[in-house]
Amino acid sequence: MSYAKRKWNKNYKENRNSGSSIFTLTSITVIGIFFSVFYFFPLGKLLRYGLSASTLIDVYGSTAIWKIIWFTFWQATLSTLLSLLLGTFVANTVTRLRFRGQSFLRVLSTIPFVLPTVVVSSAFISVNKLFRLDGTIFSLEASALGIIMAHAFFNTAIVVRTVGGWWSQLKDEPEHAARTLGSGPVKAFMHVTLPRLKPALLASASLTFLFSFTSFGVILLLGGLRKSTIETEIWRYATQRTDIKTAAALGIAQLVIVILMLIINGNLRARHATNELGAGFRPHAKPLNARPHMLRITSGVFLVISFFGLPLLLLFERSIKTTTGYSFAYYKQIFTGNQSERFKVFATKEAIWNSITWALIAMFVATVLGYFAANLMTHSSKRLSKTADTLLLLPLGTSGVLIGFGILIALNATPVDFRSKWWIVPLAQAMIGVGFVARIVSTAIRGIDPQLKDAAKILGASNNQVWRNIDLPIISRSLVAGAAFSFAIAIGEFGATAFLTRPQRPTIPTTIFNLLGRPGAETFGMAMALSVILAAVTGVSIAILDRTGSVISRDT
Amino acid sequence: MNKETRVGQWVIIGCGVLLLALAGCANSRVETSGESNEYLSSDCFTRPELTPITITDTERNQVSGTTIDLITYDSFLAPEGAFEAFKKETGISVNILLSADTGTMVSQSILTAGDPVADVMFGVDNTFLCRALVNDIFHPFEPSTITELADELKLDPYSRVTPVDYGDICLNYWKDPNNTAPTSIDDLRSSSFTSAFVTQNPETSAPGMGFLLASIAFYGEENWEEFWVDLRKNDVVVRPGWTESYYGDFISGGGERTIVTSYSTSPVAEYVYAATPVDEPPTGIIKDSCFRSIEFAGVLHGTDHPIASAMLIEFLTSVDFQEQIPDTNFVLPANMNAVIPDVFLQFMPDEILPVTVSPEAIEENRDRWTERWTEIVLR
Repeated sequence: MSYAKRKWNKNYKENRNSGSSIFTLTSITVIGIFFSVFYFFPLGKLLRYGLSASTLIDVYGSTAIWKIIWFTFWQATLSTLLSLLLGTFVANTVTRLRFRGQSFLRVLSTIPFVLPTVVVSSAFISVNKLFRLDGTIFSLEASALGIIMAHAFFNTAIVVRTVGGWWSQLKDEPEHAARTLGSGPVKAFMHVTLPRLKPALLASASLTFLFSFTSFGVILLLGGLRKSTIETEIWRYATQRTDIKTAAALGIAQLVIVILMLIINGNLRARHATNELGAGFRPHAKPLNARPHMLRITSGVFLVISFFGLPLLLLFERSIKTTTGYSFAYYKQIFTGNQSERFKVFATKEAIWNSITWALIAMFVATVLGYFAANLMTHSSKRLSKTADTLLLLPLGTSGVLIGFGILIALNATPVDFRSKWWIVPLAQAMIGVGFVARIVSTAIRGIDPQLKDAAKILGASNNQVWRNIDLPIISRSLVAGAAFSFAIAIGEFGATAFLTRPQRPTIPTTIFNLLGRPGAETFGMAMALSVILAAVTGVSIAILDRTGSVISRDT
Repeated sequence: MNKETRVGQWVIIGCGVLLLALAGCANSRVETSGESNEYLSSDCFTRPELTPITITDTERNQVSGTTIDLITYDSFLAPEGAFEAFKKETGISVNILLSADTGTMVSQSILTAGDPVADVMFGVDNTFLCRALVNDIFHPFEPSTITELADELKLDPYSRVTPVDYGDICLNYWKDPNNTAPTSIDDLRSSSFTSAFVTQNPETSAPGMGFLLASIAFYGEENWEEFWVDLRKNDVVVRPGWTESYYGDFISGGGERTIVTSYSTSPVAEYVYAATPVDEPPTGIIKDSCFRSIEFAGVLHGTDHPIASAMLIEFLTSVDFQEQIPDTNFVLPANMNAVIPDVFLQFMPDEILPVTVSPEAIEENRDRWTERWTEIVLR
């Protein structure tokens, strides 16, 4: 970045933030209280409870732990790279081009994100059996490959949404210029498009890395404790052995690696910052049906359908396969009012309703707080923005067991014992969601083209008008993307929730879990049907959010 | 990298460390209990210092209107209307809290010992019992129902926990008229059952742990390792949990394996949840492969509602409640006066001789056994 431009940016940023110190102060207070109460205080208390010098020396003195740390690190790195590769390709298809059924594909690529791990891993194991991969180097079971593929399956959605949202608002001219000057499509992509996508790629890379780094279910189900990561070891020591000291010592390794990765990521993003997002540049206003695009569309559609669609199709097939042939009997069983006595105990309809309300609460909290957080992450004070950037993503990279156990020993203050209240669960889910929303929204805010706003001001627009016509459309799109993810996180119930004490309100994932805990063809079929319903509910909710997002940005 | 960003990094690291330290210092109350976290094995059944809860008739009437929390493991399903009936009878509302698996629930309770999240815990089993007792998480209470409960299930002489139900973890096999059925745990080593068996990892699964203990009790400390060496040679498959093994590999869930580690009541469930009605369960049990699992309930030490909590223990062991749990949770009542549903009597094998391993022995050897097992079977 040239000196002049940097100076210009600085002036612009100061100018922008001059009138909003009250807003900044509110943001710091709200975010500070929320994260202190639900993250820093509980985690600090647990570490204080568990950490001791002698355990640290014991744990880090053994070679076994360094092998585990190394495996955790490289599987997360490879998972992230694979997700970025697949995600960029899919994003190109589902947001860059325009064709019928495009929004359906975009929703389809997001659904895997919410599926219960146990359902996905069983799909992976059947793929393994189907192609007879067991015993070969391509085996997806008890292998690093299976773990990486599963992480990519879950996390590609993050890249598709973050990179896709960014890409759809980039101007086309630089590519056109490159092509006109004689570059081939590959060269134009590598030298012109890719550098301009870097902010979004780096933003989604950090989220994907954190998810793969602290992933639990995938490692346990596909690695079967033959492959351990820091997270599964923390779980084993804390929950099965009641050895909080060793668990806390292992937690330190997680924190150090996550902080280092976030700092590196932050510096890379600062170095590759571009701000050229502008609403109103709608590069794909008309459908691209020309022949050169058909190849891109076909290959993208093929990838989405085969990688994301096939396991979902397998799932659907299982949900309609009864002993007497294909039928919707299991769905009927879920929705009929007069369930037979033996299934009353599962309260399936109530679970669907609970899941939706629960996820909406978490989404609302995460989106509001995420917007405050994004404001801090893009503050003109570099110190404030960098601190916020790192600290707010820490919960995503911290063991759910440690946070959950920490909340149990920290939040027992009288007169209200938070720990047994029902709302602690959506709030804990919201904490994971806040990081998501904040990262996606702050990336968009940083990307807004300042010259565009300047031009508007010169032409006589008021500050308010500038915000409404330039900032709002870009921010609202990214807010919607973040909201969709916080909804998905809550409805799929991952993160710290598994390790908090929760009231007995059945949700779709807990009911699937209970059904799969009982023998019998009927319970299995109903669990599969409920998984399909979970996918459908998520799909519909995200489609509605997508629609809302594009309506907001079009109206303004 | 310019100077400003480098300073920024240190600020971030500094802030993080400071915040963690501040949070840690803010309350030093748990500090003293930090060291008591380490438990001493084989001291499970020493006399507790707490005096047992006693209930007078006036106290019984005074607690009407209170609400108490019952914490249990995640797969527990409350029988329909059971706790509503308790409320009608006593005026006490029960709020059910779900933890994760039993190990997590016990660890959480040890962490919060003396300042519990709930008032009553249900579901601690004989494999985690010693750890729970050594860490003093329960308040002693002898319910009036105690004489009705089977004597062999009352493991704690000081009544800190009361047995509520029991069940046996047993090998199940798929009945196939064309093949000979396995009749003993020792058959698993034979070449006629190569690639037939799927079980669970004892570190992540309660039935997996139960079967490891059954094998240790059956073969003894000298020979159990040899048994698992043979099983590995015979191509045993190990899954992290019951669900993956039963629905993924066992023939009944669409897999190819014919023997699975499950429960003695699983054939009953196969009958009840069959997609189309069947005359008898498609699965059977290997009778000498069973480990007895007993589930207990106890009043959590430090509760604000000791009387109401004690009354809940009485309710959980009362005939009314006891007769409801087999149908919902596929376990058997501890109360000998409770009538067991017909379907269980009809399809549960009668001559099971389950082995038991004492809670002290389990606590003392658990880590060593699972580590050896991992070494032999997985590495």
